[in-house]
Amino acid sequence: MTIDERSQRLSAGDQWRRDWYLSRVDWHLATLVSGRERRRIITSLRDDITGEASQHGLRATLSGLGDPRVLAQDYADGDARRRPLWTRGIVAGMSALLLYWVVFFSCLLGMFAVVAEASITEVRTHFLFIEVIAFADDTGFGVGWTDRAAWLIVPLVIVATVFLLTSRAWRGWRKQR
Amino acid sequence: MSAPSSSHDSQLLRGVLPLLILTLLHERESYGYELVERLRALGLTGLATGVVYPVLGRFERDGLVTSHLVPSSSGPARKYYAITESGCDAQEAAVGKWAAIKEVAERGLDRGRTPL
Repeated sequence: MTIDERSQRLSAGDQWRRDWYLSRVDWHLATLVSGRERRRIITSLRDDITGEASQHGLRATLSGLGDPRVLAQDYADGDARRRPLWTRGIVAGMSALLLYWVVFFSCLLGMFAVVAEASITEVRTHFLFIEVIAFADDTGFGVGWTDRAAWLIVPLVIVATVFLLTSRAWRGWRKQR
Repeated sequence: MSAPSSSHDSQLLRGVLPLLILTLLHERESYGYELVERLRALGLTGLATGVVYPVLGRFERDGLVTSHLVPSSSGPARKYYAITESGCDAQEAAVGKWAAIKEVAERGLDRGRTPL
């Protein structure tokens, strides 16, 4: 019997609420147990929740299970070790990259505004070690940046730093020693 | 027997719950919520399901219990837990340890009750 067959009697909304709860448990388990153990726990818990929800409703079932963080700690009781948080590292790294580009393009828009309003053909500034140029003339407008390597290296360094710090990558290194 | 309050000591509960779960599964297999209800019927009235499932999960990982899904005509399949041979051995060993601890505790409590 597949998970889909088991879930077919839960409404779509209940399936979504169950999976959202499971994803929160999974998020907290990531800091405590290995990936294989985490998958085993989540599969087992999904079956338990689905079975119990048919008797008592999903709301009562999830309420009985309590806070996902506490439940994850109970599942990991005795096995918890300080592990690298790879998923958190990736999410934080990608968020940092997104933030970098949002700020970068906001800066570019500001430069375009200056070029347009001051009736000048070119504006130059530095954005985190990168020289950025915004220009406009009768033929059109555009942007450019110099320091060929820097425009690639700066965001890479930001992403790598955020990833290493938020994922606690050194825990994996300690484990291997 | 008086029922423990819903705020029973969580450390005491952690100590005794695995033994009770193995003992109840030794009587007969149960699905998760049924097991919770059987434990509540023993007097653990405020017991949360979230305390029981992690214990069952560890038992399953350690081979003390097995689980299987039983299709239900009224809803999704239920996951039944059954004790294994290793689980029976572990239950017997735990009962012995519990008896020894109980004896020590009672000896200590009797000394407290004896007039000086």
